[in-house]
Amino acid sequence: MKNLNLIIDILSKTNASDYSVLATDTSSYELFFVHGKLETVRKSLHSSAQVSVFSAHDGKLGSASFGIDENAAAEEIQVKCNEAAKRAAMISDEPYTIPCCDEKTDEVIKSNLVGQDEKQIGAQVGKAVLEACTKADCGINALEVFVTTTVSNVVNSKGLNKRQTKHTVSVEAIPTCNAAEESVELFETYTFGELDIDLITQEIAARIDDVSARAHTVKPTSKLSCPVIFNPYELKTLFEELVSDSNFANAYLHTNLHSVGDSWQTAPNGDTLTVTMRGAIKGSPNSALFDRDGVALTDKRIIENGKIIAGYGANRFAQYLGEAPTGALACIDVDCGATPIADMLSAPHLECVYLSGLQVDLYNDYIGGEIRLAYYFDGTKRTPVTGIAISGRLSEVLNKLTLSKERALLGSYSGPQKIKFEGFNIF
Amino acid sequence: MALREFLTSREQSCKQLVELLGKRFAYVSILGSDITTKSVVVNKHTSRVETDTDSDKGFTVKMTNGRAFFEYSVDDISGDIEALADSILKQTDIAESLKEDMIHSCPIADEPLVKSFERKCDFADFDDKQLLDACTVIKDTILSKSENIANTSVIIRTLDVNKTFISKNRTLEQAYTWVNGILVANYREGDKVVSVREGECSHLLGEVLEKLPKKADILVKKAQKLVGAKPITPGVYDVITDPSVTGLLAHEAFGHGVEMDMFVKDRALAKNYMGKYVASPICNMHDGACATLSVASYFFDDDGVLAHDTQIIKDGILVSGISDLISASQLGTVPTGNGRRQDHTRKAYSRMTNTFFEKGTDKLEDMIASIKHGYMIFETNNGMEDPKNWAIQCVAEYGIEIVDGKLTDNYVSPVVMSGYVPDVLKSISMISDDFVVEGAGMCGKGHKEWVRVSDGGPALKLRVKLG
Repeated sequence: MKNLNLIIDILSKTNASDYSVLATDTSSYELFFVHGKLETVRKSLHSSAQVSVFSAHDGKLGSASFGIDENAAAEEIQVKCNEAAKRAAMISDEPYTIPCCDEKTDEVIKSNLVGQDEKQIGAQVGKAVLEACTKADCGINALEVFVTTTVSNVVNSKGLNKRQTKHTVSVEAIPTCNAAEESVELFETYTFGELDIDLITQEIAARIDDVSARAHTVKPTSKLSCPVIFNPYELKTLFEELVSDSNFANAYLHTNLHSVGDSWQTAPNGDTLTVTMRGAIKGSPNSALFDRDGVALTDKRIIENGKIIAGYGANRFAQYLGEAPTGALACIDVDCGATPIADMLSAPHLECVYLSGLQVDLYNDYIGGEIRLAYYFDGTKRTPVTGIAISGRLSEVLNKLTLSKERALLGSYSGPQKIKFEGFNIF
Repeated sequence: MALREFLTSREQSCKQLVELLGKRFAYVSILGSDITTKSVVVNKHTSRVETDTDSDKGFTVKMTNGRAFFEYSVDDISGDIEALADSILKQTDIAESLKEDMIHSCPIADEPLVKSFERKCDFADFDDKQLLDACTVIKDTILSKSENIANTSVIIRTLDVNKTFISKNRTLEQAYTWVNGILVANYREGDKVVSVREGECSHLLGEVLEKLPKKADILVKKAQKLVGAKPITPGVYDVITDPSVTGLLAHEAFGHGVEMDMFVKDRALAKNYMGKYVASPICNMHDGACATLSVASYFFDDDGVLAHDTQIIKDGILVSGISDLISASQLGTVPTGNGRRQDHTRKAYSRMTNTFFEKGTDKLEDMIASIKHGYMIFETNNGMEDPKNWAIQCVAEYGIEIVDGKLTDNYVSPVVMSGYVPDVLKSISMISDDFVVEGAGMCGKGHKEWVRVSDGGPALKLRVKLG
């Protein structure tokens, strides 16, 4: 961000007790394909900063934030800083301190994408996805590829100056099967912190198999009653909801449902859940070295054997609660179990492949969704099914679950590739 | 409310850039954005005022030669424009392997037009202290109503949009605003916690500040009811949707389903149903930035196409889709003013604006009276579409049981409505004679590309699966 030093210089002369700046530079190269043909090419360059100004007064602390772009001139920056200082003086929150660290760091998050040419990566990923489909009547109707580099720089009035560079590749693909009876599709989206072309090819090929199955789904003629298996998409949604309840901000603001010492699994009759929040997991696009306050990320186990043992979260609310800040941890690591997937799939079950959207409502103790593609295994035959929905009490289904031995990584989630739940109503 | 200096001062540079790039491309346009925001949040324990933390300031250059489109997003267009033009050509270049296999697109009309649009704004009448004080008073009022309120948040968000569009033949500018006032309460009774919300919206801040406090009582009473809500017994029921859920139905059923970039990609079944019955003959549905005044009521879209009021369903028959420039250029149709970007760094897609069912002739009380056993369902939570296969899922915050033609005191929550789109829409048997559009929604495309949308309409009576 070319005017960062100017912003810092003006902030240091503003009538404020402290300041913190998060400057972000993003460079993105994007390719959009329709039916395998290139439709749009985009290059995007963007730099901006989020500035927080603090005002200590009468034993209280006020803060105000503003956004500013890299072309803002000194006069505009000065006006925004002065206005923020005035706003901060109007606020009387409980005091806390911003991170203090008289050091300058500049690190690149480890990835095999570092140093690679964005145009070549884009073309290579596009080719890998489009060529992964080898089934007759199937194809990739639409594909988007984003190759992104993000540089984040946190500077504050306590001497902290940390910079990190992250590389990611995102893919959004629509595998489609044009069967005689019906044309059907699936929606796939991945973001990678490491490029593995073979993995992309395998994933897309597997989804082509699924979409081909979707073309031949049937609606079950009788009510199903069996365990339900979730894959990483649904597991990511579920665990993001569960861990949010342990965030320091939710605890301080009394919007959490559970506290330390409470259990997600009150009467476990199967595997138990152990969850660790991490700053970085190899290959996860959520990996980071520090958060927007500049706090170094510290891994924290928050759920052990189904019981909440700790909270996690950013600087301000950690201090309010008298806890050590872990930083805003964004990677969820769930311990795997001992059951091989092959064993899990050998008994009757309903394996959800594609839901319209898993609904997890902690307050209403609800989990459910409408199934667009699932595989029903009755003990002898595996049938692709659709036109049904699942719902259950979250507290009940968490009590009886089986964790797969095999691990998967999807965005923020790293954990069992499959989890089997009992207690769902299938209708 | 004149356009701010950032965009007006770059007009000549943009025109020069259009001319330079025009030597290489048949069509070049530049969208300029300068969107400022303010957010005032007061809750039981903390307060904050944020400005421009989700602002958008910059330019998007779009170019085509009748095949693929090339776009370049940048924060500023100033200084050495010739050097910038060279840089744009270099940075939007593609690997050799991709050059042969591109789409073909029709020529862009680029009809001549020079026009300025603006809507009345009252933001200057209110300073930060007034907004903070107003939020604090409402917060204290809510907290005073029950000791069971664990926390409450009072939020006022303002949006101030400036945009310019410059091509060889068009110079357009627009300035408009929107305000959302939101109340949230977390209510705890024993082990049960519920989160409830109420809202007000307008293009005028004064109107929101006047109406929002009146929602405090409704908010707390709703929390007291919902804390005792039970799960619904899954099944097929006669259902009445409130305007919010009606809007969600419009949005998910035939909003996403007629976004015409989905036609280009063969991702929407609606493409094959133009001119056919897809809903009950009493249904009429619209989308358009100028179809009503709400959060998505702009004057021209991000492709420089003037706002439309598009009738999507007429008397139950699917009659039109909605499109952006790139989709229309591939389909050979006229764009409908639905090209929208999340911000200047993102691609424009065919997107909804204000989407709603037209009002009917039935009285709501008659609709309730006509149901022996069913539910009236309220408040959009979220929804998912499936334009290719017409499955639909709409989540309402809560429902109230109807028994023998009367609303009872039995609340259920949450309520997930799902089904096959034509079955759901063809089951609509009554439509109320009132009409509300709520301008507080955000809509994604896939799992990203968030834009502000409104939706709504009257109450509908239909038969559908609830779970």
